[in-house]
Amino acid sequence: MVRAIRDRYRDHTDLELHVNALLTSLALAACTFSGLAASPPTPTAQAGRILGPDVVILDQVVGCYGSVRFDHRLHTQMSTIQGECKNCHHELQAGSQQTSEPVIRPCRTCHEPMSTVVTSEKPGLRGAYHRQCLSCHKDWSHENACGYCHTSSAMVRGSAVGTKMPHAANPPRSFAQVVYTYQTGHAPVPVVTFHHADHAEKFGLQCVDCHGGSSCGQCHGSKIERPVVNREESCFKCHTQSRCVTCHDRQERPAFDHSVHTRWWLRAGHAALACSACHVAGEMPRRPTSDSCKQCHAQRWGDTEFDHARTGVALRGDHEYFDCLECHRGGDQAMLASCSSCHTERYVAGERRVGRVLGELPTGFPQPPAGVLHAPD
Amino acid sequence: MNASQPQNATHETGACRCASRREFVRRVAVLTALTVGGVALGSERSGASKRLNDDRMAVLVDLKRCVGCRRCEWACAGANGNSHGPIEECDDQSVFSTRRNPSTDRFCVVNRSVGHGADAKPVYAKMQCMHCEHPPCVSACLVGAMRKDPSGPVTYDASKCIGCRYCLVACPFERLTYEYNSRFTPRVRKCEFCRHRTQRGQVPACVEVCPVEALQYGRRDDLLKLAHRRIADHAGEYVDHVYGETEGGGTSWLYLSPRPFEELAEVGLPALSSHSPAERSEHIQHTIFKWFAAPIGVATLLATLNWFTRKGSHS
Repeated sequence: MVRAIRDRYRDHTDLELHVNALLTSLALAACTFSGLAASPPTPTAQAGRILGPDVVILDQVVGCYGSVRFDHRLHTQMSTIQGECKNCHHELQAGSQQTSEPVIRPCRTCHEPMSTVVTSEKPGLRGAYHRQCLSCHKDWSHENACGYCHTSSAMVRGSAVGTKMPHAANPPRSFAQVVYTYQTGHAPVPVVTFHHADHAEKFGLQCVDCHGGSSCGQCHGSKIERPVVNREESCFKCHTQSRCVTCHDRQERPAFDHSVHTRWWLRAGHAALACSACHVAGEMPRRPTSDSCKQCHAQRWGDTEFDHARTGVALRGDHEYFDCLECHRGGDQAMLASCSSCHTERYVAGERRVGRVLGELPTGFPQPPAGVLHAPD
Repeated sequence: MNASQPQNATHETGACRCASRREFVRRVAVLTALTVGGVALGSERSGASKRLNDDRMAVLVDLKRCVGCRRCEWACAGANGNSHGPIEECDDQSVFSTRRNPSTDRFCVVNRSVGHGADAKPVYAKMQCMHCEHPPCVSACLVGAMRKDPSGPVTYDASKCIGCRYCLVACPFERLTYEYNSRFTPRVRKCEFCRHRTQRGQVPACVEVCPVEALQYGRRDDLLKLAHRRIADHAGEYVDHVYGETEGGGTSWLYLSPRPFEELAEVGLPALSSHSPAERSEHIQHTIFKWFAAPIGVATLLATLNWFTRKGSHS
């Protein structure tokens, strides 16, 4: 109970917050916490942004029903999926929610308490509230019974903060299958296997990357059990360079295996890494660069530059300037550099020793800085 | 046997004369009807707007906003002294399983159109007397019990009503109801546009109670502009048509819809022509009797016929 009261005072802002609705049974306790009341309100802050109060009591419109205890924090968290503050605070212009302190005015500053004879599009305060809430709630729960939001006492309805799972922190993946297999009409490769778990967990995609919808009802509609994905948009957002057979096949495909699919075997510490440790999420093609390697092999371990000599192999001459992945090309022995991929017989034989490359470099070979290499002994 | 032949001859002669006279009268009648009808249809239309106030009021219903809470039904019953339960009765959604029409104790009802397709959203439409610009019920009423107020409402005066129920037949929206169960003083029952409230400066009860302000009360001209602007501002969200702007010659209740109105005939928005049924019938009748022309014409015709036949008999 103490915590509840503290929450209420903490939520006190200049919005439609109404703190005098404390239960009369708590009148004795109220004086105990008067010190808390005197302290300025502390809006919830997340990642340097002001996210407003945790709870807002809507009691400006008095009618047949009681006030509404609006869980602002929960809605703020859910809004990270789509639209952010502008979902409700429509007077905010695009991008203005990025500022540290968005100017948010109470609804009542613009919306009159009751609209009578209509002369403009602006709804009254009651209409504004209801439209705002029902625009989502009607879609996803088809719930329009008044008692769903209105309560006879503001304190009866317990706080939903912490009791529900906000999407941003806990995406509802439990409903998804691990793999979906689609039969298409594209002979001779009709089968498309979509490994949902791979995309969601291994590839680091957020739900909204594919399921980004315009409303809550797209996922929460009573008729729609599975969120609808526009495959034209969602798949090709990443698979821009892909061909038909990237997805289509004759039969179902196995889940993603880094060793099989990339021929770059994950061993030792690499096996435990998330994809995004080396690959930039959502970026195709996914081939990492030396920068990815140096994220750990240089900077994270305190070295400004990775000293390859620590591995027992000192890089000299031209090799200093190579991209890590030029030598570490994958395969079963991914970590072992493959010299023979460059130093073929024609270089080794005769007067040309290993490490001395004369003449033109093979196609695709990284170009070294001018004047450094290719000087004959 | 002998006497029968002259009788037959007389009968034949009479039949001959009858046929020619009948033919003559028929031709004259057809000619008169065509002339009068042609004049009536061809002459200038008398617009309904001439009789109506420019500031007449109307209600704009936005079916995209309506959530089907049925508070309007409840408030309507209360405002008109009809029986109703507690407000929680509105939460009963099972009533939407069948289509309901207005009844003698419920002047407005909300129906649901579920729509087609997996992701179709239901559309809820409130139905009540549409308060037509040119009401057929007023036109059909023999005794003037139904009256179109220049400020918008179509009102009913039970003290004048003789119970013929022509108005029920005439209404193209089928919104009028009759107290068949009342043995001695049955009345026609319908929405009166909350006349008793608007005269006190209040808005209709349904408009007042609507939590999402899907109903908006205002000057008809203002609401039409508002409706068209809303369609333009929310491109693709509304059908580009304001139901009631022209339907049945125009109504005081105007509807905006996110779904084609053809799909909403089941919830009380039937497809109607832009002319009121009353308009044409009234027009023909009024033209015929303009300047008392038809009675004078018929009397003149009969007098002429009489004069010719007398002259013929004299000669």
